[in-house]
Amino acid sequence: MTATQNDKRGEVAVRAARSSGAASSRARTRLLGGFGWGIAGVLFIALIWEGYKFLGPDNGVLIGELRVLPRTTDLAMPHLWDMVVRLAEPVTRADGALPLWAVVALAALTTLGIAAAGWAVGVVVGVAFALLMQRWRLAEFGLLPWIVISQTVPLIAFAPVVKSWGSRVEIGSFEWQDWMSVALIASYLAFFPITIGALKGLQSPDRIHVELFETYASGYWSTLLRLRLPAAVPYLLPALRLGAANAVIGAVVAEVSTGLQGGIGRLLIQFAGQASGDPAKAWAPIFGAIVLGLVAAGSVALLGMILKDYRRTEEAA
Amino acid sequence: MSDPILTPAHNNTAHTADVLDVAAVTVRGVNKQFQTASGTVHALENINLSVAAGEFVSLIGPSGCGKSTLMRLIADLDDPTSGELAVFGKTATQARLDQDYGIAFQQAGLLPWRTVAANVSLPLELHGVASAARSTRVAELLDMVGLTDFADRFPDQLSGGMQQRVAIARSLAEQPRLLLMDEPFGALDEMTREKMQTDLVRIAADTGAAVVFVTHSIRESTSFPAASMRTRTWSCPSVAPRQSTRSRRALALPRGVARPRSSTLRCRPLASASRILSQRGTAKHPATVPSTTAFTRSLVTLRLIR
Repeated sequence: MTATQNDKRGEVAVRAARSSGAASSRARTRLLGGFGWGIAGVLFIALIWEGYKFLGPDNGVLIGELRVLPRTTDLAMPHLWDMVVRLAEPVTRADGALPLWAVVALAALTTLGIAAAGWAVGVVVGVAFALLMQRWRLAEFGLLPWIVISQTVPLIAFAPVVKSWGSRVEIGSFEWQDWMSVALIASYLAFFPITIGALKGLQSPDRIHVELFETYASGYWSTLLRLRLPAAVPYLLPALRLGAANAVIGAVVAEVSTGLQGGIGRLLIQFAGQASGDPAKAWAPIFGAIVLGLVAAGSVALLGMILKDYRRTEEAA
Repeated sequence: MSDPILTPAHNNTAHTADVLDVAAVTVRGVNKQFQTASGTVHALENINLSVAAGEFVSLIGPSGCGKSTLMRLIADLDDPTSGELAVFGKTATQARLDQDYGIAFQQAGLLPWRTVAANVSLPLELHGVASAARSTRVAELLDMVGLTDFADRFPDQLSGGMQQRVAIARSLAEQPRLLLMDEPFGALDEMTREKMQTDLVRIAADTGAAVVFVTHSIRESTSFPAASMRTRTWSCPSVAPRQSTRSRRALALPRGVARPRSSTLRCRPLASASRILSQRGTAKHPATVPSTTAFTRSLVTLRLIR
């Protein structure tokens, strides 16, 4: 009661300051809540894994000939703690071998670098396409169908083609590296959502804003810089996040299909081959890939925090 | 007019004497038709209008009578189908490129990612005003609309009325010689509106700017402070069939507000104009026709006479 009375009497500025303080504490609570739910989710999955392993039959659940649930043997479903313990042990029995986690981390970093390069190329290409299509309607009609079709080509099909083309590229002292093929394939997957998101964002300014800039006799570039690009941010960020996830998937798959050494994709195949003798080891690169995806998406979230002023309409909605 | 900030857009005001002779807006025989799915819509038919430099003219009429369209033509956001249109003796396009007018719309149209101050300084920024001069001017403008304390807020933290005040400050940023206002006070509460109206007339008088003020509210158009007002009515084809122009003559009109259709009408100053509106249907003044009825099917121009 007192609070409301104070509110009514209080100055606008005071009220505004208080409400912004309340909003920030609410945001903090929401953030903590988010973390809590995230951890709860992981624990839940762990519980199901171990619960099924404990309760389920050794041979899995079969309906007729069809196995609908996996075997629960240590070979098929190692204990979670075995996987964790295995991470700390050396990767091979050879002297001076690095612990498994370090090998996975190094491989993940390599893949992350390649994926980041692919993502960057995807951003440049995607935004360029979007700018082209926003400026000229004809370009949108001409390009968009091809851009959509490009994504229906199976990655596995053209990965070796890209590799073999790449190996023939030689411009002066520049020599095409194998990792560049992988990055190119990653960018091929990354550019698509970025093109679509950026196009939608660049087309998003309200008519009233476009006309306002027209009355200021503002040219194409200054309208782009001060109106279209800022307005595109709320559309661009989810697209960049999607692009980052796609780049990681693209990089991992391309590593496998071009046989590039040193990345997490190669490790996945290699350790899976050793799974009959060392089942827990095969899971390490899978965890690595998950962390990789989280880092990639998280970096974009960081970008979103830097650009938070441009996302005000998004938060209000 | 000696404000140093004005230099880029207003170098032509150097010849103020010449410029004053040129009408701010001249509209001669302008037609505007829109092609829609259901056929051609005549938004404006043979409109003639002249706004002298420093003059204050309201365009009044119901929705769809073409008042906003006329303003958009003046602002060069649309082209007339036929007829002539000049702004300070130039084509509307040239006037827009020369930044001869400031404009405020029905919605504030602030950029949500810019603070209040940054929104006001947008036109200055686009036209290359130096940053120091910019911040001085912005402070001045925010003081004028009473939002100095809110300079660092974002539009979503402001009420609708405050946002509109920011938009008006923005339209005044470059001290234009012509202000185009499309129902800018529609969203304001009455008290703020009255203040903004008084301010607008004062600012226009101070800077010598001509004002074209679009509104659907007769109450609003007659409540600007002025010595007297002169109205002129245009039939408006998109709203009314032709014959209604004739039938309007039969309507009784309040004392003070002369018959429509005569080219020059005199109505009493502010006080009586608003009294007319409040008197509808009292015993003493039986059903004086609301100026609203007289205006229902037309585009009316109303000039303030200082």
